[in-house]
Amino acid sequence: MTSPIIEIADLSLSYGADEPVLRNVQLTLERESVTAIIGASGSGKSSLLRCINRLVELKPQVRITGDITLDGQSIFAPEIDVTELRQRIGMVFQKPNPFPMSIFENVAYGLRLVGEKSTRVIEQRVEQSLRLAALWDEVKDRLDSQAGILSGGQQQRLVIARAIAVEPEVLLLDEPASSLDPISTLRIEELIYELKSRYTIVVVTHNMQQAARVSDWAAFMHQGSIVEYDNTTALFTNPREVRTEDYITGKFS
Amino acid sequence: MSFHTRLKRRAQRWRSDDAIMFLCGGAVALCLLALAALFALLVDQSRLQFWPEPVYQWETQDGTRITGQIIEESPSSLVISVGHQASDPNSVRRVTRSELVARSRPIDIVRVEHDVLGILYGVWIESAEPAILSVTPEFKVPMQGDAIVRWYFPNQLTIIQSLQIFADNIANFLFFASPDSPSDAGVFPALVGTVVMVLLMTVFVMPLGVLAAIYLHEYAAQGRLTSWIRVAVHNLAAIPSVVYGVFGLGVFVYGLGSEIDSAMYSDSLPSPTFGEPGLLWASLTLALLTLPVVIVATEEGLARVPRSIIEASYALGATRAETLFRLILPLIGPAMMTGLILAIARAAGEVAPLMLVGVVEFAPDLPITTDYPFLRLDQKFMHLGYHIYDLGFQSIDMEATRPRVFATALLLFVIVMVLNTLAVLLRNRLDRKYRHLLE
Repeated sequence: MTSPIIEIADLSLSYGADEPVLRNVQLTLERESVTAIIGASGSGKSSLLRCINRLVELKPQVRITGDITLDGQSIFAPEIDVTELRQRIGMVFQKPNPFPMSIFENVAYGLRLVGEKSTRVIEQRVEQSLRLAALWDEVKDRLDSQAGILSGGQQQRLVIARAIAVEPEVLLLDEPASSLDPISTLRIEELIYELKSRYTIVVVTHNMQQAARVSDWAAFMHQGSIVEYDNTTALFTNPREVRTEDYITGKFS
Repeated sequence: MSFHTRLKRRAQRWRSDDAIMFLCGGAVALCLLALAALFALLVDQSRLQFWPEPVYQWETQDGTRITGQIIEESPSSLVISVGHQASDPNSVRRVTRSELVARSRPIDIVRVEHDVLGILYGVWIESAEPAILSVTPEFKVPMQGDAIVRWYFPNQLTIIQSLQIFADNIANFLFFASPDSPSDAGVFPALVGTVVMVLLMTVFVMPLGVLAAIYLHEYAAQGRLTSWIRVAVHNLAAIPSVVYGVFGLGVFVYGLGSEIDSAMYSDSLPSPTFGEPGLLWASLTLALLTLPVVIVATEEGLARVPRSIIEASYALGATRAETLFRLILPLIGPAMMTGLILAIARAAGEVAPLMLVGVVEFAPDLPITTDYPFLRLDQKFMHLGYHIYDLGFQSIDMEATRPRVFATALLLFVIVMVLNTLAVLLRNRLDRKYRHLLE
């Protein structure tokens, strides 16, 4: 834990009068590393991810207590502009969700939002992002085609390119490969590995092997709390908690 | 259970399965049949308005002759258009078949459209100037050349000549200028009145409806109040249209209109400018009437935009307005168009409220001009729907104007059909474009 970028302190989340979704979550994310969050469905993994870019606030009657800091500054502070925050913290969703526009416009969307007018700059950044997302060679001749014609795996890489085009510091991946076939999954995993040198990545996954393959750190969540957080090797080979061991060995669902 | 009973039960199950299918298919067939029948009726009944039908001569039991064209045939009686007669002001005669002895189709019968007298059937007995037409042996009409609008031998026409007359009749039906008679004049002013009023209405209803739908769907908290508002909007669509007419008359014409008059046109008072029914008030009333259609269609479009791509836009740092303009509005364009066209189709066919707020039976001046501001917002105008009502129920010679009523109805039917077809095509395009997103 040399240089933390995000610190989550005592974070709780609930919708209206319902049971809290997150309970007193403590988590520190290290810069330029991959942190995997594992856990059963409904354990609050996605909600935790959506707190980090404040996307959770789109839902009505959200109550958040505790704090999240990005580079030492609270993301809930009044002087924080939520749109700027979301440009610093990119997100990729479970199902590929390209916009119904051309491939080029998909990647350029974020750039146009920040007011980039120069066509040259936009073209450069689109190419650079698509290369980084390992998609350039497959789409460079059909940038004006609708994004919908791409395969699921290609769409997901397009969505990653779209997220990194605005040069975020953190990339949140919400089960990025769960709707993809094994080959596409492998490519996404390779991509995560590649991107690690530039971004801090948080990946939520159901897939234990995937978490073990791609991450440096891993957190196990259960019923809205972090049960165990350790470096990946330690968590998978020598879990401290019984519940973690049960989950990763499949005794418990 | 024996093998035999099992077989029997199985056959029974499939029989009832087939029965349900035929029941559903039958319902569809019935709908199509009704539509086809309506269209066929309109075409058949308006045929006399356009196509040069043959002229017959009948001998009756009392020895007189009837010359004319058949308007309506039934097993027991005939309705015959006999044209202008000396004795009888009525140009249509209803006779029972038992009165008639023989029917012939004389080749030398002439059909003359006369400036003053209207339609005459007869034979030329003097073809040099001045020509004389013998309608009956006792009734001979001298014809000045310039009084004859058109004449032809209806029983000698070649197909080309028939087609020429047909085209002529269509042109007359649309454009014939008659300064004082609504039942002869072309329906063009009514067509223009309908279209201008409807277009003006869309200018009012579209921004209002789309903005309201966006507020309801994107901004309003989805609580009890919002759902009540939504129910209220749906209910607005069920209010009888004449109620909107009364509302328009009370609020727009007498309320708003007199205010405008006393504020801006006080020199011409007491004669009202906007304080009486007119184009502006009719458009506004119909805008109100079609508002629910636009709101509902737009909201449906919004509901079809997948939440996931809206979230993706927010996750890239877009504000609500940016997401709306860059992503959502282009996506719901076809849905808005669908709402627009449904609203147009509804407004084009509306009659009752318009009678209260601006439509009159005869206004040959078009509501559009070539001078600024190109629209006569305060002017009363004609409308196809009201034209049908007026011709069908208010004219002196109802039987004679009947083909015209059906022809006008056919025109309105075709306009509404075209608009609705466009709506369906747009909806299909929307489906094709976003299917991969909605799965």
